[in-house]
Amino acid sequence: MKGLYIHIPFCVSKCFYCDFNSYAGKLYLAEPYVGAVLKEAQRFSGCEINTVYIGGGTPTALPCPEITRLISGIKKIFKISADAEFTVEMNPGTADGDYLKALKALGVNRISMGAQSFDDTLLKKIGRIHRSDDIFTAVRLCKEAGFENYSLDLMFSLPGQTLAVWADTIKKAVSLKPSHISAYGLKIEPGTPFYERGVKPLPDSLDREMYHLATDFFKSHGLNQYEISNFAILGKESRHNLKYWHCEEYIGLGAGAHGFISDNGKKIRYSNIKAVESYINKIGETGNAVSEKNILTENDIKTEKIIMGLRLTEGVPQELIPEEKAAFYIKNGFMKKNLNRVSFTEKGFDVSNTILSDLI
Amino acid sequence: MEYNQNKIRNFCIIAHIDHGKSTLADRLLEHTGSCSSRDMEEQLLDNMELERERGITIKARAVKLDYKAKDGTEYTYNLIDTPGHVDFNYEVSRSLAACEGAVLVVDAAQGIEAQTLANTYLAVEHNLEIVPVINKIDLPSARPDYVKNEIEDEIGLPAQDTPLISAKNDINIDAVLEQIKELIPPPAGDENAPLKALIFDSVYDSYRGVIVYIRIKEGSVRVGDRVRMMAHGSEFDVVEVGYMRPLGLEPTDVLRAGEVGYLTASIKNVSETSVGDTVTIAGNPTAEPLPGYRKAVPMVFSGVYPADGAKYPDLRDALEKLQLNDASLSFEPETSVALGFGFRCGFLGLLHMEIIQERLEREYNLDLITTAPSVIYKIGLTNGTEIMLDNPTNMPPPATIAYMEEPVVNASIITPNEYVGNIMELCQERRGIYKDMKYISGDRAELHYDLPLNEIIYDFFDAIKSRTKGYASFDYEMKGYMRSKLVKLDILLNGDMVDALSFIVHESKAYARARKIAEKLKDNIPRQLFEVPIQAAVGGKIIARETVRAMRKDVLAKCYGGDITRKKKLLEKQKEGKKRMRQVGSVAVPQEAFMAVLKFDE
Repeated sequence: MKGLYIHIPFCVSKCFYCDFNSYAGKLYLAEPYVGAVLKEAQRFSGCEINTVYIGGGTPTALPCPEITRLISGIKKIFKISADAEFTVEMNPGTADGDYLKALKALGVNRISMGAQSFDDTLLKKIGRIHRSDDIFTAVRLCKEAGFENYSLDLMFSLPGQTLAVWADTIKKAVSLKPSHISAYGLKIEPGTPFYERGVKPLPDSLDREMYHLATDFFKSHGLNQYEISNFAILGKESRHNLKYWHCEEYIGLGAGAHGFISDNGKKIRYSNIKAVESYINKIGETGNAVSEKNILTENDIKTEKIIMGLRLTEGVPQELIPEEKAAFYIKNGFMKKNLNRVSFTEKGFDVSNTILSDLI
Repeated sequence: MEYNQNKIRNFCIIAHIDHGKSTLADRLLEHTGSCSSRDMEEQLLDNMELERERGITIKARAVKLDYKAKDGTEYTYNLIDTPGHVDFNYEVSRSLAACEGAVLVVDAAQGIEAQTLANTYLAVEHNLEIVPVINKIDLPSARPDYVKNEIEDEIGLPAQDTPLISAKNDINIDAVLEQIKELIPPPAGDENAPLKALIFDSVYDSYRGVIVYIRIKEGSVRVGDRVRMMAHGSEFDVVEVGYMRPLGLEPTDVLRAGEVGYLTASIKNVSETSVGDTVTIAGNPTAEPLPGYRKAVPMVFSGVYPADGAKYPDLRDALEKLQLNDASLSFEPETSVALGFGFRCGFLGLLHMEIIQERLEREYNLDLITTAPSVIYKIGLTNGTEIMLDNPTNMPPPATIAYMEEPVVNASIITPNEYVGNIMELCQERRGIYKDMKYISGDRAELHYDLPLNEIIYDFFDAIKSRTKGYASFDYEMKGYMRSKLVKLDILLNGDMVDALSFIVHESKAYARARKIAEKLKDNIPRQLFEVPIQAAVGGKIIARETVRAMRKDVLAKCYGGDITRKKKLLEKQKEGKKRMRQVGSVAVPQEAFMAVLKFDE
């Protein structure tokens, strides 16, 4: 069973930190775009799927008829299992009761909400279209529509953010009783408005203080850390995202989408053309818009298992890590061993890239 | 053209850096029809890439030009290029010894500069006739009359007829060519005497072997002659003789007294054809070799290691190839605990060292780590024996040392008067002993100091330039050894000694330098998983300490929508970066950290 990721590259406006493949002011392309995605899906027709994730961009920026056509379409093309996890990402600024009810009726059973912060000054500063109140409203609408499984995305290390402001944000987030929280530290990526403006990252020490404050706080509220940036109540871990970290297969559809599939026994990672227009044209011509394709070697597969698996608190089977390296990192408190699995400690997560680059 | 000694002019060009030496050389080539501007690679004489970039000439080159004078007579002009740095002073003096005259290029706006003056004096010492020309005459800031006065006052040459030219814009070049004919005397020397030829340069060519550049002082040499290098003692059968032309070598039958040309004789290594040596005929030798031969002796030593240990054989090959062309470069294998396998290399001076390093990196595509340069110390042991030490790592235990001596040079610095104070201060900082000072013209002084060589090999040249706005010039020669209180400074990272960072320093400077190095290392060693103490020690006693704090954060928060490839690439890049660092015990040390300790004065 594979995962299915569908990318919706439309946003009402671009946030200042965002380097995702998404475009403001292109919603006029929604109809041909959905058509193209459904056409691309034909390549994988009949494939068995047990997780669907519609991400973006802002999927809920699509008009209701278009997202309805998209979801109905893929349900016909793929064999989606009855107990599949079906997530749609949502911007609290676009929350609408009827829209949510429509999603629910279509079989969506999980909402991932880009809350980011509960501080209006910060929300404005990072270019979000919503305000703190909108998050409360959006969560209420989700519940009214029948969604019990919803996740909140939060960001820390934002410019000007203080520990107190962050503490308030995580408190408010937890008060909304989400089943899942993702907490991401801001990274200033080239090409983003933040980067162009020369915005400086917060000091590493403050960044880590925020991070550890959150991990401790979430844990004490039953939201257990299961990945570097992800927390969930037991059993509500994102099954779709776990596929990434477990190096399982997923189909990626849409502009700039990534996929990981097998073909004749070969493991292939691919990604699609990023620009919306070119994607639509290419699909129209050939039904396929893959722009990059990597056939993984045995070594690549092993490397990926290590770098993705170690993002999880469950870690990886110990045979993946050279014994003397594992012993060294365990001895110094960066890793731990549990049964036959090796995983990072909290201290290890903080410097995980340095250690991962040593392990691959 | 028929050989006629009276129609030969052998000359070089003296100019301050940027004053237009290479451009003028190009024009002289063009105006003698030696090559057109189209087929002329820009600035032909400086044909090493590095030279052109640095705007300096490292090795002498020579070229033969045919000049038809205004009166219709045909002349042979031999233009001999000279290196322009104190490390190569000896090569300069040999180039000058091959000439009868020198064209002195002075910038019409800037006037005479210290370095030009020093080289002019050197030329006068060699009895060369000076032909001044004033260049860049078309600049708005040109002051030809002022500069003419300067030439008359400071050099003592009549300047009324000095050609006013622009090499860049091709103005009045013919006047220069005429002046060369008028002012520079033809060579003298008996064509029928036994051969006496000066080697002023040599280059290795993979087809012909060494090409020896010579100036025939007396006698002649032809193909088939058995020749002897008088200082070196080796003998060869001449395979080819000829002239250096702008676009290549031009073989001929015989070279006669007064001529400049080359010979080849299946010579395998430039070390057998040292600059300054005298070539004669083995069966009919000249009575006396030419004066002034000096073997090139390396004075500065440094460990040179490949950044990637696997490139050791490549480094050896590259050094061997460079040595074919540069007899003053020496090297032998050495091993460092921190850096693995490498070579102990000997250089003429710091610039020579930098040039070799750059050539290794550029021309041979090697990534290098070099250790702090060292001079050769003399160590008297308690058992009565004396050893010479060029590698601090090999310093014997202090208890076995009775005394130490360090090499000292006679330094002469010519500076505008206003900077005399700065120079004195600098020399004092460098433990210099003041000898004397004289005013050589209205506004220039020449200072003499005895300076320990180890104080000048790092950055003295740069320090002089920066404290005199580039106006001072500096020259030195070895004087001898002097007893000195020297200590070995060791660096420890996380408690482990890093042999490649050890160096020998005067006791009085140990503290300051230890602190400086510890700071520099702190700035250049990236944070690691652990805190890294940096310590500097003399004889086991810690005299400076810094700490690189442990890394707080290196984590990727998010993987974008299943984009695993991006994360993988990032980590692989990080791994590559780490590979380029040296593992010293538990500490990863980047190449820059090793290099940073070489620069004190910043």
